[in-house]
Amino acid sequence: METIFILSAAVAGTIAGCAAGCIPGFHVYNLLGVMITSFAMPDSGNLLPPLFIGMIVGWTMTAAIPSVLLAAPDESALLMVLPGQKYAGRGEGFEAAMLTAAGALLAAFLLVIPAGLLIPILLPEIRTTLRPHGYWVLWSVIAFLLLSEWPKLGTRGQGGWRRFIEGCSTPAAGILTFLMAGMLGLVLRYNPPFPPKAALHGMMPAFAGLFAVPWLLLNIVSRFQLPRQEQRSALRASGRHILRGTAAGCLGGGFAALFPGVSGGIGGLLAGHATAQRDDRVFLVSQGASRMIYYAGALLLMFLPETGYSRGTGAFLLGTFYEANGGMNDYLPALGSIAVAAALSFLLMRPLLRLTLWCVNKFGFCRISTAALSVVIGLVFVCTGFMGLLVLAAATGIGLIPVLFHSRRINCLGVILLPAALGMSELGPVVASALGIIR
Amino acid sequence: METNDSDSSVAQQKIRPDEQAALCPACRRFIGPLDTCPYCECPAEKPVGLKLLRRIAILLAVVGLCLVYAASISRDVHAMPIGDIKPVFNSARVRISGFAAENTHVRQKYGKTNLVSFLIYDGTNFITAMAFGNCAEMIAKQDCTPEKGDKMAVVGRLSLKAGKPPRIVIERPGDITIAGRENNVP
Repeated sequence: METIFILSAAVAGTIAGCAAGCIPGFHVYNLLGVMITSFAMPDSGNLLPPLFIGMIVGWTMTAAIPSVLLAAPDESALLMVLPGQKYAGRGEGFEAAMLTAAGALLAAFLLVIPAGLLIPILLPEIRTTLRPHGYWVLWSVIAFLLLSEWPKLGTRGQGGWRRFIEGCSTPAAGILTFLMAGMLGLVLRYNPPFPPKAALHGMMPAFAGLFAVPWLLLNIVSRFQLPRQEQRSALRASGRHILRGTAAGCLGGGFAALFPGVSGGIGGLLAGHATAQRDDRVFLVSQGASRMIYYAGALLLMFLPETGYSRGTGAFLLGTFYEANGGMNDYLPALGSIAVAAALSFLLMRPLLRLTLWCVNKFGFCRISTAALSVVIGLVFVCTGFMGLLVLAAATGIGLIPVLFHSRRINCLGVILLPAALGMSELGPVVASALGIIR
Repeated sequence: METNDSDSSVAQQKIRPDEQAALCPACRRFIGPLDTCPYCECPAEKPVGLKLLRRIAILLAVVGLCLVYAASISRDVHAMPIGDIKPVFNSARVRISGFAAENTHVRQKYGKTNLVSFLIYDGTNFITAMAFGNCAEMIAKQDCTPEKGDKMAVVGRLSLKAGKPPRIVIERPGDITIAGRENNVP
């Protein structure tokens, strides 16, 4: 009987997560935050894990839809926009979203069966080895992020200072974005301007402003019209593309799930460089796999027997209300919930894609983006009040800089990277005091 | 000549309306996102919304960040009775005032203090205050550790997990104030 309840909770969570994933700019953590704030939490503790897992896995799968068709990705889908937009521009957005979903499904399969059996054995040793080195790994990631920003301008016209300045403008915008986002992150981490009841949602206005709002605003301002999308019945990708993309994505997502401060987007970026990806199909598959391993894998870690490991916002939110017993009675249902949620959400991809395309054709890019923007702003206000709107506005300004000045939006992740790196180096409070953030 | 004219008109016909902004209005060469043509220095016409959005972005980022910073430093740390702590307050930065219910527990590893913890009671409930790493080392060295019965206040971040007693994590030695004792903290 309990199995039926757990399965029902997983299915219900998956459906809610899939629906949330189709809303551009809407993050699953927003949905979880609303549940927590409104105290709409189920009474039975045993139903919480499959519900959370279902929502997170369902959202991870279907968030590819607005990322490709409506170009409003979250921070872990930053790199998916460009190839996805190319596909959408050619009328092949359907295929792009399904490629991403294929990567996510295969990653879920690998997470449940081989990784699920090996993680409890290998992870304690891996964690003991990596733990003392976390701080310099994070600083290395930051250095790579900033140094790998390439000049996009300054390639035309007469040479000289003008061309040099034009060439430097893109990396400069990237560094400026990183530093400003980092400053915002330090303020929110060490002295947030919210009352205690909004502390749980502290980063939500920042993430919404840095990632969701700028894209929605640009959707509204731009004159882009989505061409007619072809609905193919088969993917034009070989097994080699799918497997290679999944392997790269699992590598990136696994790295992100293990290291605090590293998100799915950064994991995907690093994996892409590490595996020398060139093909757009491999890229899209890898992004789906990376997101699935990052979100679902990080949450799975909290159910590991006898480790007490906790990674990611999902585990943080769930851990506030649910105590994992740390045994197989928790771990195996969690694995099962991931499997059910991944399968169900993959099956829902096609109908949801069709529904989204119908909405885009009927209501238009601009109206959908305006509605989504209203939802995001309303959610921020409900969870964090007027101060949250102020943070949202500041973060929106920062998030618009890379978009409008042609640098990479991944630099906005300075909002978590910089505080995390300083915290792991035990310099966080020192820097925060020096900046006057805490007195 | 006729061939060139027809070629250029055919080429122009292939350009979508939204791609016109990528061409120089004078010499019709591709300039992409640049505001001034690098070839003939003619100002390029860009969509007004985009230009305005750029200026708004910079203004919003700078002014917004300053306002958030000002709001954060002007806000006093919220004083909270332990009994009022709820799960939604997880990770909130608060001030807890009360009495040390027991002597401080210090843990060392390789000769260095890596954990300092003590129990606080404020008449409503108990909470464990903890400090880790370098912060714990500094607290132990600067003798900021309370003894049983000391009246005190701590500022820190709440760490609340289901099934476990509430904890407050101290991040700086200066966040501990013990009544009747001078804190030698810069």
